[in-house]
Amino acid sequence: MKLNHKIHEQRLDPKQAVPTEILEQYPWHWDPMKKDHDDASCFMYNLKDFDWKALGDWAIKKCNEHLTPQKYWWYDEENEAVMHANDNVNNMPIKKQALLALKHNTHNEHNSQYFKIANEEFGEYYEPLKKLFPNLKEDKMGISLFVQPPGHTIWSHTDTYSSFIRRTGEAKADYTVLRRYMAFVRDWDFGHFFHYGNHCFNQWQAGDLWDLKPGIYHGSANAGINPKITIHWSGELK
Amino acid sequence: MLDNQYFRKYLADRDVDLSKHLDIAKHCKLEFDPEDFITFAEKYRDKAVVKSWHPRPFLGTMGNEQAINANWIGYNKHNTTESNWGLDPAHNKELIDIIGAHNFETMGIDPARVLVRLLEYMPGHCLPLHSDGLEGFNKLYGDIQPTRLFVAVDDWDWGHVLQLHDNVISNWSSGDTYLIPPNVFHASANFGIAPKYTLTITGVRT
Repeated sequence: MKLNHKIHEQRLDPKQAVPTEILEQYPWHWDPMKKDHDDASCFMYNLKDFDWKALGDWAIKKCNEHLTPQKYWWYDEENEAVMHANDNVNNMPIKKQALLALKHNTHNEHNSQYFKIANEEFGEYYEPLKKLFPNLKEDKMGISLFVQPPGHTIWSHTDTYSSFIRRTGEAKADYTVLRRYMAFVRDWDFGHFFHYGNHCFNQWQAGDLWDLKPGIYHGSANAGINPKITIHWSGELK
Repeated sequence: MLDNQYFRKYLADRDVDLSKHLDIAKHCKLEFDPEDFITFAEKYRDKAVVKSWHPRPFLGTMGNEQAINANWIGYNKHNTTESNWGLDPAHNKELIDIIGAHNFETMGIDPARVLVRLLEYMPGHCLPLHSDGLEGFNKLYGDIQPTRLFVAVDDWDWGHVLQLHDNVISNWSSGDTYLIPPNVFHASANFGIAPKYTLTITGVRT
């Protein structure tokens, strides 16, 4: 299978693709070999008072109703467009990072798929999930659950809140007030990988909650046999 | 959606249980110039074995059963493609020379009875959960139980990971070497933006 591009002789520096305001507002070490980092300090606690098993089982049933991962990334060569499923995200702040992954690399629509359940689609779970984060403005908050099947990855990136911007309709994100939290819905399993900066997660438990502080490079993969499920709260701090 | 009953049964039949901890420690650290391997890969790019996960007639029953199970749950050429070098005896010899006698002494592996493979995984590709069939080594040296080692060629980069049973191996330095015990299930992935180069060294202990 021939590549569409030459393998880069020099290391690609992902920092160059991150929006300047994020780099300025949230300085980070940007050194994969740095050992004395505190990237794991973003772990908050285990959210125990929630039935994660029921949510996970419900999410899988919901995916099984249509069997089609709604989200995947690809580069439309013909139109020179970065695509997130059917959305052209050329005008979004994720564009430069996406080009590194999709145009100058081998991430594509075949290895980046995931199911997404968001906001009102949570049905009876929506209100209790919203209440877990009273520090986020209710009208400026999005909740999304990702089911990542085996063989798929979410390429390393820093969050630019592009989906949130699309949802709220705002012209530009104010990263000083935006926040994202992530919890694992099921216990860790074979082949489930997640790196948050230089910290590689292992043996997480359902309900483990992480404060995904802006500006830290992260990504995930599933090389196992069971789906990996995460849930994310994104929003504006009160 | 995900009919993983066959793979789950395959693991259960082999008593693979994540709740049982397996101690894994770094075996040793080799001293080499990673650029020598990258240069080798570029020099022989057109002779690389490019493979993905699917059953093949020269694999053993175990390897093919694992490949069928992996294909069944969504692994294919789009997410498991690997380029590798070393099955060609001339490549094996050249890779042995690049590694050097001092490193074989460090590893405790006989350089006369070894198969070295250089693996390249591009971003978005992974090596699904599996245990090693050792077909390549056994074809060369007969049906003996060798030692299998994982060697990091480059310094660690974001999105490069290896899992050995319940251990996630990451943040490695070039030359870091881990022993992969027989029949231990493992997996790896590259979800970063740089190619992942590793060596698989299968050989007889000195």
